[in-house]
This record gives sequence, structure tokens and C-alpha cells, in this order.
Amino acid sequence: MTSTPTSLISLRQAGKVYRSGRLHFEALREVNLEVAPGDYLAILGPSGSGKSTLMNIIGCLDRPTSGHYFFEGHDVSELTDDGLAMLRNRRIGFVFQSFNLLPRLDILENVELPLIYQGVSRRERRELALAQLEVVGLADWRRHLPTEISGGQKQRVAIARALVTRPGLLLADEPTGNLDSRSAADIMEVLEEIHQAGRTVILITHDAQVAARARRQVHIIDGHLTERPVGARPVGERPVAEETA
Amino acid sequence: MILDAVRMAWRSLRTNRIRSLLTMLGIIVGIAAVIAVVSIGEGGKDAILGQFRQIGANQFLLEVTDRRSQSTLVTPEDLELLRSGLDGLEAVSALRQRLGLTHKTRPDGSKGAESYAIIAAIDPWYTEILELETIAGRQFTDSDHRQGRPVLLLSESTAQAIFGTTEVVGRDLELTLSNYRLQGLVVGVVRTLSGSMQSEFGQMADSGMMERVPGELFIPLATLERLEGRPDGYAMLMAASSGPENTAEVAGRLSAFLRRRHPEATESSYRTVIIADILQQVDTVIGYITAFIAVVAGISLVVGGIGVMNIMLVSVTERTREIGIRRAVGARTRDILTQILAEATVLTAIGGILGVVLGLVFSYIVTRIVGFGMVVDPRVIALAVLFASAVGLFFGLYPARRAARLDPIEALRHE
Ligand SMILES: Nc1ncnc2c1ncn2[C@@H]1O[C@H](COP(=O)(O)OP(=O)(O)OP(=O)(O)O)[C@@H](O)[C@H]1O
Ligand SMILES: [Mg+2]
Repeated sequence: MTSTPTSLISLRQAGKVYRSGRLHFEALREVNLEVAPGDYLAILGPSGSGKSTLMNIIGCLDRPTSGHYFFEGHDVSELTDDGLAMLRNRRIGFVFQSFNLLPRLDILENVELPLIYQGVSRRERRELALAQLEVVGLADWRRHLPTEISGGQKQRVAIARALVTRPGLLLADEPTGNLDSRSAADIMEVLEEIHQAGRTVILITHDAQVAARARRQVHIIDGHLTERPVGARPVGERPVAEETA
Repeated sequence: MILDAVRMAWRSLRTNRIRSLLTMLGIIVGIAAVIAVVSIGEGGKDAILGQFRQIGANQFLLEVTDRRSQSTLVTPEDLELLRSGLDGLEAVSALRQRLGLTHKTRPDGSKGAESYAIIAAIDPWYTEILELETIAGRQFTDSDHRQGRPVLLLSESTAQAIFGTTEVVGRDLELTLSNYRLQGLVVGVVRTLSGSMQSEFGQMADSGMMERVPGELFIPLATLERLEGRPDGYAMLMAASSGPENTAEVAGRLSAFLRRRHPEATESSYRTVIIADILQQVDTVIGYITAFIAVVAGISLVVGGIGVMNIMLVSVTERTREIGIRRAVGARTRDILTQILAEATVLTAIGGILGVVLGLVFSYIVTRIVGFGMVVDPRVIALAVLFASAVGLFFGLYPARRAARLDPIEALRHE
């Protein structure tokens, strides 16, 4: 089986079953999704619907338990753990709802982190990370610890870290979930710019307003994925204001 | 990459300073013990054996152990007979020791504090068995011995202690030996390549109130005998056999000879001590002590290693989320493995270095107090630090593998 040549991401009948002991839970069911390079996609869905599960698979952190996932034409199931690590390192940037900065490293070192695993020299790392911090407007804060900056700033650091390796794909799992509306708007602005710069952006959210900024929207409910035209709201679904993990 | 890992390890250890230090404690103690054993042990061996080192394997002592007839069981006639020929006996010398009182001399020449000195009265054969190296002046001549002249040889430390200088040839020194007074003339400064055998007097004097002059002070045996009169016998002989292979045999023959000459002597009247045997025994005892402390150090290192493993496991658990983040941004399993291993190894290597420092400081203090030289072997230090690092590497392996095997998603979910 091969992927569509023009697709960056191609999910074919992908499913994910979580097993713990005798219990198993089907978090994704027969998901089909094609994402072209340069797309700006929002994945919408209520809490527990399988958004993070899907993002983990798209981000090559996890593999589907059934079906196929092609990333840049490669069948992810056939890659080794180290192969996946390489993909994550060079092709994908992650932005998490909870920022996930390393608390003991300063801002600059946090941004440098992915470059360490590329074997980039210390000096070059410094330069690249600093340039990226410049882009998100936090170069002056480079020697501060993550605990010393605001949530919005943390998320911008996280974005800088995600972009420092110049990946083709930026994955953001609820990037505005922990931010006030001003900071959230700020972050959405940054994502827009990244999209404008030609990168593929996949945004995960349960907030319809946030999702509306994307060019494309898919909805996920109980592990089922459906694509809707932008602006349409599925019958019976209310925006979920619940907290997320 | 390794360098990055070491740098990361260093930072993470620094953020948990107290914990890191406590974790290192076992390693520090273990390595310090090893270093101390080696530095003090070798120094001690040198100190104990050093004075015997120069002595050949063919030398032995004969002591009269029978106190009642001590003065008659080895007579001057016995000595003459022995010298005229006992198979395999190279030389035999009678040695008498006396505790003498003397005064230190102040720089202006006036009498200073009174102190004790151990005086060895030696016959002409002494130097055939134990060599004396002349530093200044001369040694005893035949006529010194024949006429019993009041001449003195001092070792450098003795000269230094009494006169404050080693340029003492030609100076007078007054000695008081129990009831007699000796107006001596220093004719030479010597270095004993071997130690003298004086010990009993040393202990006696040391327990007294007065200071004891270190080193050796020699007079001719004849000089002592002119003061005290020719004795009926001797309590101790020094002898050398013709070669190391027959030392025990010649020693046996010597006591057999004496027993024949003195029918009143019993089986245990004479005791022979072969110097090489003493050396061997001291060596063995030191070997046991070293082995014992090595075992203690080994246990300490293993316990320390387990402590390191334990703390690394805690640290891995604490940092599960960090590991998840690192995996998410592209760390491979082996990067995580390297990181944790580097941390454990850097931890124990620093422990090793601190242990070396502690061991050296401890050895320095002990050797200063006990008074023997400290032996610092850079190879041992390098080996100790290397070994400490190896302990970290070994005990870090399990936590590192645990960390490397963490599922990235589970790790990211971890609070
Ligand atoms: N490791 C796991 N083992 C078992 N079940 C899991 C596991 N991870 C997720 N699930 C289940 O899979 C379902 C989807 O989880 P997922 O985290 O993808 O939801 P989500 O859409 O991201 O929700 P939220 O908006 O709250 O983040 C949930 O019901 C969850 O309980
Ligand atoms: Mg989620």
C-alpha cells in the first residue's frame, strides 16, 4: 500500500485500541485523513473524543494499532523507535497545551533542546535558538527560567522550540487551552504567521472559535473523524468548556 | 554528544547539591579508604621495613632469653672461638646498648636541656654486618677499638638534635652512663644504611619525662668496657652467615655451639631471629590489614553504588515528564540512556575525586602524627577515580535502561 504522493500525512483506516489488562478501549476507529503540505488544519472534538490520541499518531509519538499511517510517504508502522525519534526531531514540531518546557533549563536552552539530538554544535545551537527566540520576540528573556515568565510567553518559547529545527509540520495540541484570551489571540497570530510562511499546521482544540482560524476543520467524536466545511457546526454538539488533560 | 550529556549531568547534579553529595558518600568513603590504605600502608611499610631494608637476607640476631644467667651464656671467649671458625658464619658482633644522659648544646655553646640518648657500643665487627656510611669526619679506627678511646659517631639526626647542626666533627660531648661520665669527642657523622636494633631502651626512655634524642649515637665497645669493666657475657649478638640460603642453618649451628659450651643452658636459653623472617612477617601482617581495609572499602563502594542506583531510580521517576519531553523533541532511547548513565558516572567520578582528596588529607594527617612518610602514587589515584566512575556506570545501567524504555506518551502524561 502506498500513500497519495501529494500528501504530507495520510491516514488509512487508522485505529487505536488502548489495552490495559483485560480492558480495551477503542480511542480511534477507522480514521481516514489526508493533509497536504502547507495545509492549516484544525481537529475539533469534545474531551475524551480521541484528539490527543490522533495527534500522538500524527506526531509519530505512537503508532496506530490497525490501518496505516504514512508520513511523507513512509509507513510509520515499519519504522523503528529510533526512526520515529528521527522523524519527530527533524520533521515535526510539537506545541503542547501544558507548554512542557524543562523547568531547570533556561529559555534559550529549552529552545536548543531538539538541536542537541541532531548533533548540532553548541555554538550553532546557540545561534539558531537565539534567532528563533528573536522571531517570537523573547530574545531578551533568554536567560530566564520557565517559572519566571507568563503563560503566553511560555507558549511562545514552546513554539520557538518546535520551529528551531525548521520542521515541515507544526502540531499544536490545545496551544491556547491554558491561556487567557489575549495571550491566546497572540498565539493564534503566531500560528497564522507560521502557516503564511508555508508550513503545515495542525491545531487541536475543543474551541470552535480557535478552530475557525484554520483553513480546514475536521471533527472527531468518540474516535470517529468527519470533515465539515469551515464554519458549519454539527447538530447537537455544544462547545466544551471542560478541562483537558 | 557525550560532552553534552556530561554537561547536562553536571547541571542536574548541581541543582540537587545536597542529595548528590549524600549519594556520593559511600563512594567517597570507599575511595578515601582505598587511598588511605595505599598511602599510609606503603608509607608504614617503608617506615617499619625501611630500617631493615638494607639488611641482607643473611643476617640474624641471637638473644639470650634466660634472664638469670644472661650475663654468662655468651662469654667473650665464646666469641673468640666463634670468630676463629664456625662453618658458614661470616661475622659476629657483640652489641651493648646503654641509656645515656646528655645535654643539648645551645648555639652560644652553653649547656641546654637535658635529654636521653640511646648509646650503641659497637665492636669492630659491627660494620662488617651493618654498614655505616661516613657523612663527615671518619669512622672508628682499630686503635679506637683497641684502646677504648672516648670517641663518638653520631647520625645526622642525633647531631642535629644535640648541636643544632651536622657540622659537629671535633666537638666535645659529655655523656652520663649510669654511674660513669664520658667526655667524648665527635669524630664522625654517619648514616646507618640499616637500622640499629635498639628498641627496649627506646620505649623506656619514651615513657619518661625527658625528651629522647632521635637517631643513633655510637661509641666503641672497648670504651664502654673501660668504664664498666669487661663483662662476663653478652645478652645479644649480631651475626651474618655466608649466604642467604644457609642463614637458618648457621643460626641453628650457632645456638647449638653455645649450648655445647654452656651445659647449664636450656633448650630455650637462646633465641635466634632471622631478619628476613621478620620482614616477611611484617609484610604478611600489613598484607592482611590491607586486604581487610580493601574489603571494607569494597563493601562501601558496593553500598555506595546501590545508593547511586536508588537515587538514579528516584531521579528517573521524578523526571519522567522531562524524559517524555525529550523523547517528543527527538531524543532516541540511547540518548536517554547516555544521559542517565552520564549522570550516574559523573556523580561517582566526582565522589571518587572527593574520596581521593579526603583519603590524601587523612593520610597526610595520620602520617604526620605517626611520623612516617606518605607514599602518593598517581597511578593509584587515577585507578581509584576510574574505578569510582565504573561503579557509577555499572549501577547506573539499570536506572538508565528503565528511563530509556519509558514510553514517550506515558511519560508525557506523567504528572
Ligand atoms: N493510555 C491509555 N490507556 C487507556 N485509555 C486511554 C489512554 N489514553 C487515552 N485513553 C482514552 O482514550 C480516549 C481518548 O483520549 P484522548 O486523550 O485522545 O482524548 P482527548 O480528545 O485528547 O481529550 P481531551 O480534550 O480531554 O484532551 C479517552 O477516553 C481516554 O480515556
Ligand atoms: Mg487531549
